[in-house]
Amino acid sequence: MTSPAPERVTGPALPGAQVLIRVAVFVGVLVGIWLLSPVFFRPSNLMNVLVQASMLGILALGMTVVMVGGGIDLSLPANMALSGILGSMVMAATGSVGLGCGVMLATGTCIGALNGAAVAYLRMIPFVVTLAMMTMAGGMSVWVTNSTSISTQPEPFFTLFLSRPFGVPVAVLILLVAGGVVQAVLGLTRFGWQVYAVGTNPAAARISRVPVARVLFQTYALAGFLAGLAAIVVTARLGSASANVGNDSVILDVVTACVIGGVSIYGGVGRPLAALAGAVFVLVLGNVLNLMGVSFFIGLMLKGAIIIGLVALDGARGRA
Amino acid sequence: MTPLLTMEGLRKAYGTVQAVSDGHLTARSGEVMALLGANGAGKSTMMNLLGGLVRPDAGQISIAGEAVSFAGPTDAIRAGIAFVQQELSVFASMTVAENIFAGDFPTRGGRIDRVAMQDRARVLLAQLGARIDVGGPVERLSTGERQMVEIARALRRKPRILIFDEPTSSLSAPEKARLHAAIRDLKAQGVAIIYISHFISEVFDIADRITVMRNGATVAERQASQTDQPEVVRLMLGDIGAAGRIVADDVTPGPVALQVVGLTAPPRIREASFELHLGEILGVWGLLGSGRTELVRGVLGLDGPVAGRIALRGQGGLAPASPRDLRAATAFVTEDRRGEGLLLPFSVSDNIALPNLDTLSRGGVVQRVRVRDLALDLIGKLSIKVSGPAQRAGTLSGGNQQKVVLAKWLASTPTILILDEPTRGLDLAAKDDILRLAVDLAAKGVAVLLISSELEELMRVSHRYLIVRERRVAGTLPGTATEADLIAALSAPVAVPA
Amino acid sequence: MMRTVLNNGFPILLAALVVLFGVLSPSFLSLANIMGILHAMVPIVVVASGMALVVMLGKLDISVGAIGFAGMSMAAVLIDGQGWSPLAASGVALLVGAALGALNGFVVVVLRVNPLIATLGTMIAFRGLALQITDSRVVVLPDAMRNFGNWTLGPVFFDVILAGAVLTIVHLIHRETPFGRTVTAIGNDEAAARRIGLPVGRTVFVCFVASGILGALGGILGAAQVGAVTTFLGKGMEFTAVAVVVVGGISLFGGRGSVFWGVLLGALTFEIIRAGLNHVGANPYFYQLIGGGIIFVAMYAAALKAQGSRLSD
Repeated sequence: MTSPAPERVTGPALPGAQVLIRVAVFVGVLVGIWLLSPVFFRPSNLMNVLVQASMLGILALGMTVVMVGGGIDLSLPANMALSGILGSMVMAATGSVGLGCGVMLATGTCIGALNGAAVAYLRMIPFVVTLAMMTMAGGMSVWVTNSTSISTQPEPFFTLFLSRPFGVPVAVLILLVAGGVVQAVLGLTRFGWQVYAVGTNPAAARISRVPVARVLFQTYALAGFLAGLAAIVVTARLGSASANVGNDSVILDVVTACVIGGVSIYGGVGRPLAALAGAVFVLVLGNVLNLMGVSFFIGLMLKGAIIIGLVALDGARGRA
Repeated sequence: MTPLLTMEGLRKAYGTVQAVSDGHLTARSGEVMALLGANGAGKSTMMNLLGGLVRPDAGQISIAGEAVSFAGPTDAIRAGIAFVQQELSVFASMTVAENIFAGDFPTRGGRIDRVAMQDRARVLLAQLGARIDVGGPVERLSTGERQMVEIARALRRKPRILIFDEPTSSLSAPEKARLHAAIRDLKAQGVAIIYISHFISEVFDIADRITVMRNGATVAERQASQTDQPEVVRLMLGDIGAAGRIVADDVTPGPVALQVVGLTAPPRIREASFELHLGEILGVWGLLGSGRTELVRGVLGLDGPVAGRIALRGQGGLAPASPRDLRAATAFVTEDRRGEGLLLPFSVSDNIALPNLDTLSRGGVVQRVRVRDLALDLIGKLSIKVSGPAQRAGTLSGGNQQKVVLAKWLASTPTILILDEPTRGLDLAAKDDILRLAVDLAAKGVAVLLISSELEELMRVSHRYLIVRERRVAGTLPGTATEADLIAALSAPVAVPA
Repeated sequence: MMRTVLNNGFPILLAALVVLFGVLSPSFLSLANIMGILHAMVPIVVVASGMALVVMLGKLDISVGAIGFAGMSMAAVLIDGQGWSPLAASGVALLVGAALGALNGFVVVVLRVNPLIATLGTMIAFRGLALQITDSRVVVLPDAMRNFGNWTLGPVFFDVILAGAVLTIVHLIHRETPFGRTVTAIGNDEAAARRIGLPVGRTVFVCFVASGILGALGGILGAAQVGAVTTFLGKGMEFTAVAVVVVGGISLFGGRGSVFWGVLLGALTFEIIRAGLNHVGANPYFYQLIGGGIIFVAMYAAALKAQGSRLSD
């Protein structure tokens, strides 16, 4: 062992093979981009990538919280879409940006809390609970909008969220602040420690006086809140709210981002900022495939393969 | 007559743990051989070797005089060995007949021939004297009936050697009698039976011969008719009393810290009432399978609802409490150190901090400096051998892991400490450290409940003994009780309350 | 009393719905409408039959819709581009289904990836594959295929009979064969099944292959009804299939329920709600919300039934 270090070890460190694979893929992608399009590395373009990654990154932060606790939340994109729609409707009706954003955050949190209650207190299977919630939220979204998009948000909403204080877009600021806060919550607070404990071994956590059900509930509620935050960001960026922003491929991107960021689907392992980096990577990968002229559909296949491959590696480690 | 089965000089190590160092066992057709030993004596490993589940490092297994080597469980099954495991492998939603024939269904034209299957199932169950509806689902059966289904499945393969691992641990008295009758029938049919049990009195009911293992080695083989219960217990436990008591006999116990009345959760706990005083070490004495662990887990409400009353000392004396209240006041060192005691991927300091986060955080934020100081303090106090507080718990030795478990509870200054097999798998020095810690805590006024399979250990530190037998609290003995008293207490007839 | 309602909740709900829609719109109970409902159920019944097998194992396969789409895309391209006969092309679609199902089985059994994540990954990958094959175009199928999809024998659509046969066969395999009983045993307790030497890996693998084949068959039948392969083919089918199975009382923990009655009842519930809402002129988008709600209620009831006693702690 190395000399005593004051740092806390949140879950096992990644073993060599996995780190190597991730680094190799990452370097490969960067070199590929540089060869294909040197302009990619211009600061303005990089900032642009971050703006594009803001929605995915915020959702990945929420998913990380849930996954570290040993669960999964497939309803996050659908939750985001519905929150964006309801918030936009309120905003359009009242003209109040604050109220609209409040509704987005509240809707997201409520949906997350419903998931959390079902999983933590009724002990239902997270995957299926959130799948059902995804269907319901998606259904609600198309129902209330009649499958159209809402773009009647008041102008101050866009002015505020599309502004660039100090040259940094607000979406990027929100992403970075959310990343920092979630990282701090998981890494520094009592709640965060308990989440890691529950995800690592709920039986042992319970013996160690961790209120397992309450902690699980809170992870889903927090993820829901972040879905509401993502709704604000994505509504501002797209200029409209619609059911389609939460389509099926988004959830795949979220899971891919987390898995690439080293978050274990078996719980107890993962860092929010790494998942955020994973989200940026997923987006960059999409751009690269695009530049290379690879079809979107092949990209889907590639993402599916990446998820399965990394989870298989993760599982192999768990069994070793 | 050569024995049907001979196991000679078997050795098996898991990593650095020598599970079996010198295992011998023979079994003859038409005879019941009982295999006895304390927890960790190597019985299960011996049976796993015989069942082909693990391969020996050395030694020889012979059947009917021929050396055999099993690559897997199927080889053992083919050699005529059948295993009735303690953990039942029945499928609740399927019928009795389906359960018996799972893996070898009689078919006709691709379809399961239910008529033939049910007929044959009925015959097998009749052999066991069990009257069970073969067409009904297993989930409607009692544990004893499920066990019969499991045995019928073993019989279906017409085994020459049949192993029973703790077959009666969850059976009622009539069910047990029926099982024993069935075993006598099988014996009469020429099957060689190996019978593992912790209930010594029942072993004398059923066994022809007895093999005793201790610390991975076979230490004795006796004709059942030529030995008695005290001798067998002594063989199982080894020499006691090498080390002296490390507590005084005449401690005046403090007031009652915990009072349990009529705790019941069949079949785990049948009837349990006891009191635990501040400042005493109450040794729970009973054989494995007697319900010691179930008793404490039941009191703490860890395995589902229980009936009965619990009272806990608070500000104004004893007050009724729920298992949840008790959990908040109690430090519980579980017998499953790696599964429940520690979060193995977490660092030592994080493990110590986990139950104490309330006091270690301010405004919800964990104070790392305090976590580290606390960990360093306890590492020093308990002389835990680590590279530092950041070392992962999973990489520590067993003794040091157990010290970490104790450390995390010491930091929470509990009034009640429950230790379930705290020294299992530890070396002598580590055992001694753990026991002395318990004694120190009791001296400081903590109420300590200690479960141990090792009588020597209990006798070194207990102020009082709680006798647990067949899922009941059978009584208490004072700290001055002798080894003979304690062994006698195990085999005395249980007074069944009307 | 509570237990009776829980156990028979969905048959009661189903009957209530039929009465409700019948009262709201008497033509709802006409023979033609009932036959139409049965016809519309065909793809989901076939897909859910395969799903039921996997769920009986205590696992899930959420790639079935994508498999149906991929298989049918392959068939459509062969018919449209290469001039294959619909029958031969459908055979290829089934082979594609078997191959993709085998891939799922491989990932789950050999790579030991959690089946949910495995099939979530393959769901997206297979959908990508299908879109790549058709280049995300709409492929119109020849009249022969459309005629087949809407061919009637008297008042009954032929594919209804086919779906009924598939469902019955899967049910019988599950109930009456050693393989089917092994599936139930694994769903009851996978560890115990391994302990007593049942062929767990092989059985799981075969179930995923079967689920793939039936997914593809569902895709073929669905496309034949519409007469075209669109990018929406099989979309959401996986979730509906899970929902059908859950509503039909087949436990997601495995080992419990009846394939025939479960799938039939579950599919009827969803289709009657959809057709009923349609019939009384409700907003079509409302249906998805109701569908999700039904899954939730069904799961909630199942959770109450399974672990009601534990809720008190």
